[in-house]
Amino acid sequence: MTAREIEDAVGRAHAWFSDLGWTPFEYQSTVWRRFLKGESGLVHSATGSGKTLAAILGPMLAKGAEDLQGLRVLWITPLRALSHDTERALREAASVFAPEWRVETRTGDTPSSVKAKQAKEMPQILVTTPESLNLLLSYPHSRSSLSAVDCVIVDEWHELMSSKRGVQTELALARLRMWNPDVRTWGLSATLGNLPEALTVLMGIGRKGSLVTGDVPKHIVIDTLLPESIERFPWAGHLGVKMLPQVIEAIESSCSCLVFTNTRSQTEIWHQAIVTARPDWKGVGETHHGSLDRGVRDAVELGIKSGRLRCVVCTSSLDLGVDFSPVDRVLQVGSPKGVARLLQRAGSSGHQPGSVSRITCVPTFALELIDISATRQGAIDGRIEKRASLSTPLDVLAQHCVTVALGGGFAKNELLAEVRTSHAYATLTDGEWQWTLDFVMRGGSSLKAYPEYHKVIEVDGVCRVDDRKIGLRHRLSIGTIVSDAAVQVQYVHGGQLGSVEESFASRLLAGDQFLFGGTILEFVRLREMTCWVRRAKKLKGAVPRWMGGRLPLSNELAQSLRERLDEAARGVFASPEMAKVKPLLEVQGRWSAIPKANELLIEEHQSREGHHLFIFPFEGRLVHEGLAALFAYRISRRQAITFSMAMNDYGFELLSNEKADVHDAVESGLFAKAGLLEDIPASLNAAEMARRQFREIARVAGLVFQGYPGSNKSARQIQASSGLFYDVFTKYDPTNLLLDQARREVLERQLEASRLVQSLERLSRSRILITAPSHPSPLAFPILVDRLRQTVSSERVGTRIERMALKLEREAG
Amino acid sequence: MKGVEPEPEPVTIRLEGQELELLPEKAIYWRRKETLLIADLHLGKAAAFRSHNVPVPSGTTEETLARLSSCLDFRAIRRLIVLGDLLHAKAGLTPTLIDALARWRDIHDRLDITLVLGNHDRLCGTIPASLRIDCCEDSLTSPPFCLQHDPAALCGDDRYRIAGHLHPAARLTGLGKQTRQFPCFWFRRNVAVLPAFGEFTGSSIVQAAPSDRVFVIVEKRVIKV
Repeated sequence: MTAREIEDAVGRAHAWFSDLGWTPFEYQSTVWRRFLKGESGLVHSATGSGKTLAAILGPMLAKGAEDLQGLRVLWITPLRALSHDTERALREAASVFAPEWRVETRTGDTPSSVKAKQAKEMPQILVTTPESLNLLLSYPHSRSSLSAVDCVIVDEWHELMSSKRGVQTELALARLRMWNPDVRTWGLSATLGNLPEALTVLMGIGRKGSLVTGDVPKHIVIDTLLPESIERFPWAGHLGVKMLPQVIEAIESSCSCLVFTNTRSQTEIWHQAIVTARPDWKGVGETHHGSLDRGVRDAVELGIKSGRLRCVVCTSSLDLGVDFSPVDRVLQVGSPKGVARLLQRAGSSGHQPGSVSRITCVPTFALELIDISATRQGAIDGRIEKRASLSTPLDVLAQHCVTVALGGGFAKNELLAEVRTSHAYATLTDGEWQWTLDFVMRGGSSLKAYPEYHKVIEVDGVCRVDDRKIGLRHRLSIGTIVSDAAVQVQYVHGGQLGSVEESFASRLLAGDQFLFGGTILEFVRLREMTCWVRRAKKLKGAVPRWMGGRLPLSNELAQSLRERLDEAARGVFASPEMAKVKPLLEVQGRWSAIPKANELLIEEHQSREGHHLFIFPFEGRLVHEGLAALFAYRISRRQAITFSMAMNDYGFELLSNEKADVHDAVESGLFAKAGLLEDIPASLNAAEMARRQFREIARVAGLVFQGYPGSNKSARQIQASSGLFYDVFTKYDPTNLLLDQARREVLERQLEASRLVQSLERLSRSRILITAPSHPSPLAFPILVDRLRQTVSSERVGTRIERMALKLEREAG
Repeated sequence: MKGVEPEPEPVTIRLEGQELELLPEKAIYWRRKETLLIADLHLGKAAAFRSHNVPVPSGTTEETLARLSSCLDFRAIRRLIVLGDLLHAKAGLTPTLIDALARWRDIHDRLDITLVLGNHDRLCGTIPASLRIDCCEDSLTSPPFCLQHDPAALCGDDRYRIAGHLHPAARLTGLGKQTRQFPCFWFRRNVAVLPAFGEFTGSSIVQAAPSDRVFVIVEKRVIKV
């Protein structure tokens, strides 16, 4: 396009805006101009600031009078839930700027009749997810239906880029760019600590793009519902609804209010508490979380948009870019755990231009007051979290090879060159590539025998899949979002409610009650991946908890937290939250100590359970998991000892029968960097973390799969748990690179090894404070009552069994 | 793969007036009858996976058979009784597997072998006659026991049953809230369940009642818990 044509096109967009009485934001015009010049880029701005129009008008304005057959624009969204809204917004814009264009959606929810129609004739704009795009790539006609695409828009890129779904997206982009080198890529992102990296990853190798900032000024207020008296406020626990009266008051004072919690079970508990206290809100107070059935969630979202609902208790399922204009206040129950998350959630309120976003934090136990104060300071200081991109996950590459083999086949060298243009595989070695090829063609390294295996075969230089059944199974298992196997929740007399984790459902006994979607249910039976329930009249007993994410504290927030404690140790309590928690911190100071920023606090304590060692690095749960395993390993090398470990965001606990000599351990290099590269994997093996991580890899690489719908006996005969695969590989094919990947992922993603090394460095420079309080201190107490534990031991298992008097879990009575 | 470690101490229990040795190889040695009882070998499981293009390295069959040989070699055993699921699936009955089985059979050519058919065996068709394995349908009476595959099935009389099928494992908890999972022998009031013998087999945790006797297998040792 000439400069003149570009200005004409942008002028048309401006004219439309002014017809509606609006003015486009500066950044929107910038994106349109750059797009029309053929450039790519990444747009970041707050939710509700018009990113959709910024991204989509470019391709529509660029549309010439040429033939309009075929798919032109791919809109990739991480959430199916967003696809409806997006489709509607795109249609509106298309009706003005490209009336002859069709806008359609293709996700896992799309009926097969629509998919069949799309196979014959693609719309011009397709809204889809990374998985569905990958499915498109797996059909033999993929090239002809996708090679006309000249614009790909990736929504919520900040959410995708640090996941395997982001890697899937990178691989799909590499493919589309190979077919059409002129394809333009635009990413949309919320605020992120490492936007330049996000841009580089999206662009791939050898392609340039620019960052565009949506500079829409926004005032955000972060405040807290303070407990009246800290003395009677719980020291630990996540389930407390002590603050209920204040929460009710806050909801009353707003027109429409979102109440964010950190877990699904908390959502249910708070919803139940709210409607019990205010029965008149029964029809206008709802819940929203990822386990609920799509239809239920849609109805709730509609209720928020229309302003019908007074309050909705929700989890991160409502975090992503949904535009809820009527919402004027947001409550955050529990620690926000991250600065970016808090800002994003705050952005859900006060959508009207010029209005204020307000988020009010609700602590559920005392120490969360410190978190809240630290988060606010982090927001003021602009310390926004980074998201790390992934590097060379071979499971995703193996999956992609099969996908491409199905979608018309590939020549080895061509595909290698193609995947190396993606950021994730830019450093893929020849050896790793060869292994991946061997894996999909022979089952594993050719040095190890895998007879009878032939998923991908090479005929005349083209690698392809010939077996129809393999294709069927591969398509069913495409997708890298891995969660615990889910079971449907369904009424005995019809009616689906949603899904819960199998591990939760399998622990229920007939007659047990639990809260789900705001309803009290009675468990009847678990059969054929369905959890059959009936409505219960009255809730009795405790509420069983189901999992659903334990968010770790972010690095940025952890740092801010240490600074708040440092201030407290010097007697400075600057924020209302810190002033409130002062009496408790004074108890901490009297019984033990409040660690300054350059100090590491270690508390020794003895109880009936054994010898407790509490260590407080304040680095977040993930890093503590690694530090706990490492310290347990290093101590256990000096004395025969078995530890069990527990951790939270503040610190971790090592519990043992014998007393660990911590002074000796510190002096002999507990924090030493030397030997770290050997010690971390060694301590990991003991903790069996890699075996757990292998679960996800096994599913992505196609080792285990959820099964066909209505699977029969012969399908069951080839199902095994990922743990069994892990054991068999470890014993019979120890050089299998997927095992390597499991260890690497544990290091990088679960333990954040680089953060681990950094924090070790910091700890080694710290002054060590060792105290021996006679009671668990306020900081230690929440860890003590946490019940997720793992074990590290230097003793032979057999010895432990006898010496530790391990007891068999038996049925009661 | 015969190890050079000292032979582990056998654990002997009394059941219905009989002495049974629980071997850490996951077998029961019934010395008086010169009989070895095992269950759930699932031979050919890895091959069945591979033929469905699920990559499982080979070697598990060899290891399973080698362990079985090591049980037989040092003891006076005339009869081997398999309590079901000798084989895993029809797709796993590859020439390689049948070969390996035949070679193993040649080494132990004087052994009587009886297989109580398990649910997996039934889907595998007829077992090659050359292997000389007697098959029996539901249960095998070997006084004072009734030997069968599925522990839930009731045999006609009141005999104590010995079975497999469940691949039992026990979860142990200790001080400091440790937990670990181990394959186990599980003796209940009327029925005993053997651990799965095969290399490539999973296990599932059983809920033991207070009156049950449970023996876990830990690093080549059998330990009562």
